[in-house]
Amino acid sequence: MSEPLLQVRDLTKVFNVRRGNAFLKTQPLYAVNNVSFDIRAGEVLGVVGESGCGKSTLGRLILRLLEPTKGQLLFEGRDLRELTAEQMRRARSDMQMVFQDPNGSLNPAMQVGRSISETLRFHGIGTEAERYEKALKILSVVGLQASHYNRLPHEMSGGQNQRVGIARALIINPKLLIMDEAVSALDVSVQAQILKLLEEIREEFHISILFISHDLSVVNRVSDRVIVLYLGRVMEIAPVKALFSGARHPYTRGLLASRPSIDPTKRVKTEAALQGDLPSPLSLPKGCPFVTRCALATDICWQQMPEHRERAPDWIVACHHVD
Amino acid sequence: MTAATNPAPLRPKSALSETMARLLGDKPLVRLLICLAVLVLVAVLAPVISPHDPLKAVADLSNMPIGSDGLLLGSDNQARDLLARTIYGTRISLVVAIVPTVAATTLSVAIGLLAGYAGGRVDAALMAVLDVFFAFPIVLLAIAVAGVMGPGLLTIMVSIFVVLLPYITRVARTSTMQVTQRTYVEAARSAGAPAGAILVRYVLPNMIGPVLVYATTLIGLMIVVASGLSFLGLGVQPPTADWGAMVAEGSGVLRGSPHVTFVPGAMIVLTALLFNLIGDRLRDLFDPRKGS
Repeated sequence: MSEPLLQVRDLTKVFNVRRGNAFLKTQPLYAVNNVSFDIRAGEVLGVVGESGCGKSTLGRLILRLLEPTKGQLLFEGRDLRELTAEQMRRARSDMQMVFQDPNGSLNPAMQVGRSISETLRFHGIGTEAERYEKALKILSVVGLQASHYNRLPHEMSGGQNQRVGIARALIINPKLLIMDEAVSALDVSVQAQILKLLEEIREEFHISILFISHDLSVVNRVSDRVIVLYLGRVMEIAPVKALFSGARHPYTRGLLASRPSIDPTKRVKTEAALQGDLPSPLSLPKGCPFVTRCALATDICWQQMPEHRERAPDWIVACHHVD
Repeated sequence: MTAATNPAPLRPKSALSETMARLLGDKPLVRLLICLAVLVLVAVLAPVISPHDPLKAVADLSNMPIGSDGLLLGSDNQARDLLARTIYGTRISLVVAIVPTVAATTLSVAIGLLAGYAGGRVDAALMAVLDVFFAFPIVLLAIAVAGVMGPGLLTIMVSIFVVLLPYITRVARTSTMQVTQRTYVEAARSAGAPAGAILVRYVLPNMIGPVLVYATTLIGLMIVVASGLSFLGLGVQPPTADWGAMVAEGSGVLRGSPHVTFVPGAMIVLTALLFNLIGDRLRDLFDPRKGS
């Protein structure tokens, strides 16, 4: 196997949160905690977890839209964290992002066609006329017409705007695309269209995608491998088929069992489904973050964070009680 | 070369031109703008439409009533034509209110953009400096400026400029901070946009609406303020025609000939009202809740 496109090592982001009045001390909040994984060339890596588990923060840390507190981001062997602000800006021609809110992520005062060609302009690529030609071409790739070029975002539907968001990221031929809940705000039918588009794009552009979503069925459909995050920690990383047919980590199993089912006979899976709420991220247990909701929890789980061990080829689990 | 191959030729439809089209399609606003245009025309064409020289005594008597022979609005206390002086006074009033407000708005938008976008220490430093300006009462400031430069038009304009700066900057900064948190600004950053492009093409067009509304409303207020400063003798000096100075001159004969005071006074009120109404209408039109 060739070298991974992006190697994330011990990535950590601590927010200092002030609770109550301004004279109290700040408390550290570990939004992303010692996360390590690789994104391989051409693969779609899904990231799942409940809200507040650090999924979106993770995407922003990789692009350094947020500054990581600790860790390495080796993009083609080069640590992004050592780049200056201007170098990082240029490096973004290789890594683009698609956002959750399709309408909110487009400048309301700019024609959508311009929003698309702007990406090239930021990086000084081509002349005005060439950029225009390229924008028209990419519009047809994402399933829009040339006549959409002059529209303003409020004149388009959410699904169309998300296509624009994808076109804007793709026009510069990035190697890595980060999709942060990119289909979550769309209707199910539009979601299906965008996912189909995504499959076409994968084949055409040979691009690596970090696909962040809380929707397990969507992740199941598009991903090659999946990372399961819980309160900023990696619980399990596994190939998608293996994960959905035989998850090992008790949290992943709980997550999968909590999916709504249309088959009434399968509806009651009480022993595995997740109970209770997430603990406050400000007062995490000393050991495994999942210990408060885990059926397998024992003393060691309260004391010590389990190591990330490779239990099977390509299959990493962080749990004391899984072989 | 592109015209033949492009299925959709670049039609010059920017958001700016669309906004203009929307504003000009609003009948109440257009009516108000026509009133403003008339006022501006009166100011520009003053030498043409004025029946007499505003500085010379043309009447037989001073303080002649409205509708006197040959003098539509009568004469003032020095037997000058009140209509001529009111027409010429339009020039001063408009210039003295509009020029410093436009200048202050321009600088305020620049400072507000910088402070609101940069945040942190830059923001804190800029705002601390402007807070000092906040503390100046306008009359006191005008007296101080007049002490240096002598009373006159420029004194009033400098005073208004300095006084308005912190107010408009606050609005510009707040508006900038709101826009800066929108996803499309983060999206531009993630796409690799340099800071200059983000500020000019993403933040500026989206933060300017509330600032323009506020500044328009301020013009109305500044007409009153400028008149007040002229009334106190800090503005243009006699015999130049200025609404505020005319009110001051007429105040001595208020009991016997109230029209000498009321005519310029009414112009001040109506002009201020006009700008306030334009500002209010703009606010309604820029309000996103009323649809785009």
